[in-house]
Amino acid sequence: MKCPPLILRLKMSKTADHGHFVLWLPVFIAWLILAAIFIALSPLIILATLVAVPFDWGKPVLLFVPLVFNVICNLRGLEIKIEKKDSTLFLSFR
Amino acid sequence: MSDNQKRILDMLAEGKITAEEAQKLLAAIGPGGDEPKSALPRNAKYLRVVIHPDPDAPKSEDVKRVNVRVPVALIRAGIKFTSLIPADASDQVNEALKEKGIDFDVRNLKPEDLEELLMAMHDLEVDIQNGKEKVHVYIE
Repeated sequence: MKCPPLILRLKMSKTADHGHFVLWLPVFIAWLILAAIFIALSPLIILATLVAVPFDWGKPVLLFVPLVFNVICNLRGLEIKIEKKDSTLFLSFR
Repeated sequence: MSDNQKRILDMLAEGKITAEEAQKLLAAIGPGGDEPKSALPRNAKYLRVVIHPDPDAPKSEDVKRVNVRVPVALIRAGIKFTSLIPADASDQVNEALKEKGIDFDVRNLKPEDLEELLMAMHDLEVDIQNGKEKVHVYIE
């Protein structure tokens, strides 16, 4: 299992005045909060799964959280760079 | 040297085929032989999508360049979500797609297909040109 990204690097720059700012956002805090919410809601998730089974939605409800966690873990390395005429935005998960 | 190349040379050594025939066969299978590609090469980590303005297009004010690097593992993780779609929901999605003019069955979207696509993409670079922009998609 991969480690989820810890930092989101956000860089914005203006071409005209050569000014730029860089933000290092500690996204691991968000993952910790989400994990706490998941643990708190886990009894409800199990209950929802049991209710959803007769309607053919049991598997999706049960597997949704692990799959979302898998996506979050694989976000590391994602980079998006958008350059306009006068500004640049760069996002990177590390 | 691939198995097929070796086999051709063995047949030549045994006198089963002539040198001319061996030459033709070697040319037919190509320089690398036809070694099967069983899996995506390990170094293929990212899907890169680059959009840049077409140099031949007329200059416009809203020129945008986009460069996106998506980890292949993230695409794999995303495609697994399709397994969560219940049968009746798949039908609804298919109908909605059909209304938009897209004839596609989301149930046919499988992780194995993605592997095949990524394997093909490793040897392939896609260039799309629409008159304003050029889109370049490749695996790195």
